[in-house]
Amino acid sequence: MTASGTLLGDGRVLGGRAMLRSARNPATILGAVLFPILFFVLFNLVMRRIMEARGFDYAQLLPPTIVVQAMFFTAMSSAYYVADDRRSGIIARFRSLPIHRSAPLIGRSLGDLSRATVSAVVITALGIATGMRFERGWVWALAYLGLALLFALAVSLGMGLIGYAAPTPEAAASIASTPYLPLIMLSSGFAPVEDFPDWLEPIVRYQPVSVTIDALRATAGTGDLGDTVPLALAWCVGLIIVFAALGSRALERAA
Amino acid sequence: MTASAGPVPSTSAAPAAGTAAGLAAQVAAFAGRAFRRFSRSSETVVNTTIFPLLLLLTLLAAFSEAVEAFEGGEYAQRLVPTLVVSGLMFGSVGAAYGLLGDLQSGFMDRIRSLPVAPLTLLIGIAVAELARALAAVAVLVGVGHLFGFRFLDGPLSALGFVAVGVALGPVVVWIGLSLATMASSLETLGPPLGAVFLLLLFFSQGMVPLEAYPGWAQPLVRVSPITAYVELLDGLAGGGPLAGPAVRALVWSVFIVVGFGGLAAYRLSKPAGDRG
Repeated sequence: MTASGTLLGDGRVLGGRAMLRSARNPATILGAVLFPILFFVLFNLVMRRIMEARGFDYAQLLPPTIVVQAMFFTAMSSAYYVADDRRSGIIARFRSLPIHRSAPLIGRSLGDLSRATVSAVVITALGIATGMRFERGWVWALAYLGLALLFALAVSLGMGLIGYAAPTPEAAASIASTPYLPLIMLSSGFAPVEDFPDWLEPIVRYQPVSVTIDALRATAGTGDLGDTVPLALAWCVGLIIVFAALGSRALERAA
Repeated sequence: MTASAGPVPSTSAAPAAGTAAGLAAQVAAFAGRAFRRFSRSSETVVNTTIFPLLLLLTLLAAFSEAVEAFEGGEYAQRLVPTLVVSGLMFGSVGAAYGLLGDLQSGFMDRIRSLPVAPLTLLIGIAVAELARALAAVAVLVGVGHLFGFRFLDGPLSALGFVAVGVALGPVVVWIGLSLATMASSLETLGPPLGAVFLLLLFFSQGMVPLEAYPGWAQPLVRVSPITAYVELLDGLAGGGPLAGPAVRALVWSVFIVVGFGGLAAYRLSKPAGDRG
């Protein structure tokens, strides 16, 4: 430990590795950018009229949902990469080097956040092109981006845990794609919370994905900031603390 | 994978390779192998049963109220046929991955050195989809029943529903099989296939009625193969007309099997070194 490097310095080097790895893998780019665009277009196509008939303004409300969905997609690669690192033995190799022991975790997160940034910016630009507006000005638009990335960090740390638990990278990718579906479908993302069955409504309203989407919408002008942003921050920061702690433990135990 | 690759038809016991009986024996052997392979893969079980169920339940929870307010019918009645078709599409990705593995592991090259028609491997994989389709139909109909899906037209139509749902398995799988003969890796197979299936699913009347689409999209939605399949299943479950959707479903099925099957056969006819 004494001879090891600094957390941030080593993390930056490993972050560079993670970014190169993403940039050179077409499937990762597809997941981060192309699939969210496809979902954005298709949900607009299929649900816009039906939801607008219910007073649920898709032009303004859908982009934050797709941004959150994109954050899931970018994070899913993380599960695959972690499992792949375990298989290739590079995690064991990192441990034999004089680097900070949590640097691999930081490096991976930097790589994930770089993908998430590209993805969030592209989707939001597409949203603006189809009628979304940041009614509170550019400071809150930056807060929107920051909150999206905070959520991305929480999810990617969680997905990393799947990478440590899964037997193979392929299994990791498959398991990682499962939790996102109920979380995003049973959220305020695509339909108003009031439309869900009564017994389900409280869960839908307060689960982290809904809370984050609502806060993103509030920073763009729809909904109350005080009701949504603190709750979203609490969820995201709480998840980051828990997942990061579990992640560094898993990193130490990983073969 | 090598461990579960299963038996290859033995040249001495099988009927002469070129005869109809010989080809049937080859298809049967490969179908058995494909069936064992996917029934032992937890991923296929998840893709075939749990994922469509999850989609059914979450779509029902999220969109029932809005769609029923828009068109007035029971949403489960529309969704169960849709998820049968979408479950077959997305589930067939496993079959496509399996074929890609066979092409890359050298299994296909081994087949070429035997007196076996290479295409029978693909036909075998397609035939094995019957079993997966049956599982998907059974689970979706069973759970759909709890949420308002009903066979309103008697047991004969219900049987027709199951038969059509199961028969579509070996049809839609050809899209993935033909892409697998062109792909170089899982990364160049999975995402494009997923994108094609998403487009097919959303540009259909599977999730919402035709009137919910903007004018420019409506002609596309109307001719979509998924619309034809969903309307046929919907008709059999007790809703609409049968003859029109049945003809369109048949034409599309022939097109898919001949078109994508032909493409796959063409790719396989080239020596391994020439494939992308």
